[in-house]
Amino acid sequence: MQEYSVVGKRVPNVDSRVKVTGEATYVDDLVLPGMLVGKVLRSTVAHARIVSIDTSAAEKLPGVKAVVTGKDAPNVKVGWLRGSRDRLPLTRDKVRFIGEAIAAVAAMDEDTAEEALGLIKVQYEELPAVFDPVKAMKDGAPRIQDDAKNNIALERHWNYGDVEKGFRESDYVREDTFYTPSFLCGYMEPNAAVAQWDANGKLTTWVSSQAPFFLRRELSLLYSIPQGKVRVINRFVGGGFGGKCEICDVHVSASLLARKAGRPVKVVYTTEDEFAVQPRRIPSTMTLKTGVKKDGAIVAQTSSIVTDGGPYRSVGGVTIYNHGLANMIPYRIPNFKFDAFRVFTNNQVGMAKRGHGQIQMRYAVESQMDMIAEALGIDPVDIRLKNALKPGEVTVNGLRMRTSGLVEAIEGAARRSGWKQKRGKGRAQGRGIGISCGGFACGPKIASLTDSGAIIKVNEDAGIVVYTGASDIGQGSNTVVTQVVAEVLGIGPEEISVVTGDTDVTPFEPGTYGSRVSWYMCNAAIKAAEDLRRQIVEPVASKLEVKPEEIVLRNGGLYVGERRAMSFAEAVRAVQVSSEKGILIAKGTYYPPDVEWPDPANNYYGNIAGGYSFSAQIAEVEVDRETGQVKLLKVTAGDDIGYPLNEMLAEGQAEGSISMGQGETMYENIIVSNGRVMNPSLVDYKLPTVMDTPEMDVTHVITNEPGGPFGAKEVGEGFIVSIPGAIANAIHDATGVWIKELPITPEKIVKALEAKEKEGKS
Amino acid sequence: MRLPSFEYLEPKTIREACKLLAKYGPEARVLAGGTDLLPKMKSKEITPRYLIALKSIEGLDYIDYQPGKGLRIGALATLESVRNSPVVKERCPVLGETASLMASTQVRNLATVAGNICNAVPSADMAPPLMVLGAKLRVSSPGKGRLAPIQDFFQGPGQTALGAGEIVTEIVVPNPLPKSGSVYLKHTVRQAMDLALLGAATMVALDGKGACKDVRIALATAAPTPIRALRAEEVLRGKVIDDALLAEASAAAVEEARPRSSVRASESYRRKLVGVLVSRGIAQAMSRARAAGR
Repeated sequence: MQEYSVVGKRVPNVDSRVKVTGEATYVDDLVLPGMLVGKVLRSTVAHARIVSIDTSAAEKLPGVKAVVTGKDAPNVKVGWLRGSRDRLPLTRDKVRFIGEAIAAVAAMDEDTAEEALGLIKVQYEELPAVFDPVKAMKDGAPRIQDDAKNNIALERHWNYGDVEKGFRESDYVREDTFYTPSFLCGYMEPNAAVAQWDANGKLTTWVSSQAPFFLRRELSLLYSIPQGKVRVINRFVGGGFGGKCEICDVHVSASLLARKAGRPVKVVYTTEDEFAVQPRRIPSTMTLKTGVKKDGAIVAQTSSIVTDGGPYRSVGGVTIYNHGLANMIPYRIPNFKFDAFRVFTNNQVGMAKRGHGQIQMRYAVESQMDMIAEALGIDPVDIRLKNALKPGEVTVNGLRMRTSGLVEAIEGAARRSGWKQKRGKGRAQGRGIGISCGGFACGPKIASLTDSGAIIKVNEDAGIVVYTGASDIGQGSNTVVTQVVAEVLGIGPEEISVVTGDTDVTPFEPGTYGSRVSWYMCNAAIKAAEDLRRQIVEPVASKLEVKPEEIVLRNGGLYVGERRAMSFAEAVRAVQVSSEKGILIAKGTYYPPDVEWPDPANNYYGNIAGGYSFSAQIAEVEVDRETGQVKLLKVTAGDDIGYPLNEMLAEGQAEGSISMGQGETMYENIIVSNGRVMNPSLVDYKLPTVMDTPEMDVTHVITNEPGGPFGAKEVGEGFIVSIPGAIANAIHDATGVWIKELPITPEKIVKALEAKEKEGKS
Repeated sequence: MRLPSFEYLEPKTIREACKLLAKYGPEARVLAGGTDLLPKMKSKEITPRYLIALKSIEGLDYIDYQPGKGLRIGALATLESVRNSPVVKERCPVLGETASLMASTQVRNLATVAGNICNAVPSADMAPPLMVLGAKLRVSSPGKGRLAPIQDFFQGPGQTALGAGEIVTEIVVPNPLPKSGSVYLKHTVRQAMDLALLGAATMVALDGKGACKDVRIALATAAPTPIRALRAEEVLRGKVIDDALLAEASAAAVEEARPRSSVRASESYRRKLVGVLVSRGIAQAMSRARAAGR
């Protein structure tokens, strides 16, 4: 493992101190002079025409300063991508799901605003609704959007090789259907916004966002004002996990109310709001048909998915594309056919969550992989080694694996977990062990502008300020950027401060999603730091009468060979006082050189990212056969994250992934009945607690990805995608039953065991 | 969601509190820890005009043991104080263990045992262990107070046997029977901060020959209220308990349980849990009883 002076070290998160002392402030902490409190009125029916909205009583309530409905909003549809702008920010004529925003109130205090909501009378004419995506696709089903026949919001079809021929040539073929429900992103800070318009018609909004520049774009389009008239300021972001990428009614209602009231307005979602409208993991039904040779080598696979997107396109085709992407990584599939649908229903809107569109498919693939291994009498570790993508391979859809540490990750995890001694031997004691693998694209190209930029300015005392548009949502991007810049400049990370989260100040950044920030933003920052190094070294070199390339920056100084010529601060001072240079400003922009947009005209073929991470995880469980209760005892994992930029943060990502993946596999589920969320509280939506957390053993395989910043790949999403399969397979090892539907609850296990017992008797 | 407006009343004595409650009747609610009451008010499930807070009444948070009177738990004693109480640990350890299985530290620091009982939800964890210990509730009223067996206290979900102006001010737990042991088993989805999908308290007292001298079984979330599994007890009482008898008793408990299906669990799964938990609980209570007899 290559050694750097700052990169790869356990540098504490730059935000930790202010967060643990409570100094860090979030949107709800912000108070502006004259600020009002806003609240949102939500639909109580799943599908209806709005006959009338009577706000007169609410407007008359003392303390109420503004009431807005869809008619107060511009008639402009918003959405995440050009192809998915199908949603009025406050609906006008129709509601399409329970919880859709209809109106909003701004008042002097929260109690008055809430009381005013109760005075708004909405008259609905209910329409037939549809909640099952398969039924929604049938002829005669209620139509939810005028432009979508059979409620098909989006579809994607790929076809590589010849799957039928592949199945004929296979020794064993099986087909299974899996289902994953909707999961909450589960961040601690709710979505919130404070909005204020100035006399020049400029909108400033303080938010908690993963993608402030996308939000600026949507607000600019909505109000038909230039992007320069919209300033989005991100404060500390209390988690995101995919749920804070999109514009949502919190942003729209705050800005509409502020415009109407002529005063700043704050809107903070309640837990109930979050359950109603938080973008959540999309429910997915996945049918997988896989053909293999006797030795377990995959010959062909068809993957057919139907996802329940709710009534709007939201993040569009990305979610379903990602399902196919998850089929392609991390195993070799020579013949592959993919048919995917995002379907409109009257349920809540499905969007992104960590492992977006991929954790679902990995659960399905990895479960089926073990079914195949069992049928063929192959060890689950061996069948994975057989199919693992190796360095230099190109998948049938064009993904180029320049590096892959998957084989080493599998072997290492198997060795450290004692796989051989444990597998298949614990059933009598209710013990089981299971393996699963995964991987992830480092910042897939999903839109036209996905470049990152960074600017560095130098203070008079040689301190460094880095400006990036990346949102640190807790993952630590503000910390790793100080590390990579410090490494290039040969100074300590404490010399560097980071400015982020203000669209008026920093360069453009698409956002913190799709595992792109470390790769894109750090590469941009490295380029900026290299630009600055050049600006310092070149004039100093001529003064020292050496070639610029002879000067090395390390240890806070400029070295020629072993001789320390001057300190970094002295060099900066020398340049600053020279007449030609003076003020030092450096910049860097980054876009991966060999990345292609997966063009529909070309069968969606293309290398979507500059690198791909890998993970192999082995879960050990103990199952109480009488109650079905599962205890996740230990997770032993190996990952290929290229090179860890910060070991402590990389561990945090792995541990957080295990916990979040455990929740989805064992406990969590947004239960929706006829469009209504039945468990809209954290009492009945069960996130794992620290008491449920298993022992964890995570080891990296270092592959030094050539395009990554200091050899790094993404960390986190490639990890979470392989958790559910590992737990599901461990439960099978312990019990002999397969549960093809998440979450794998004790009740489902008991039912499956009872069914199996009956089957055995008959 | 916000708390609807209400008037906050602070009586200084139990008598005064009872008088206020009698005066305002259904328009008033009694506030102890508030961990059940306030969320219900926020969701507008109930909107009382008056909250009669017991918090200004001095000395109601006691946990006390006197040989003749047994263990007494004041209306303001919190779950956390019961959990950490040495005297509870010595006299009725099952109560401290039960408190450990409830809610979170923060909630336990507010919530009271009496509140858990008076809220009277089917899943009230404190109810089954208090039922198997034969606890009585001291009920104060503007007139003469009474001592009510917890057995007959639960009338329906959220419904208790309290009359107008009546407040539970103390829980009295008699000395456990000699050579007896009690346990509370709680089945939850996760391992902390979770509601019981099923709860089962069991008490077994053994005679000199090791036969079951007395037995009590009480269940949470197995019916609209916490219940005793009386038929299952009948199967065991007076007999030497072996595996076959245990199976018979747990089958009887499954039979007499009346659980319902909800988003949390199905009726059939809860029935399954009744059988498993009763059987395990009796076995564990027996081994405690044996240990107590040594």
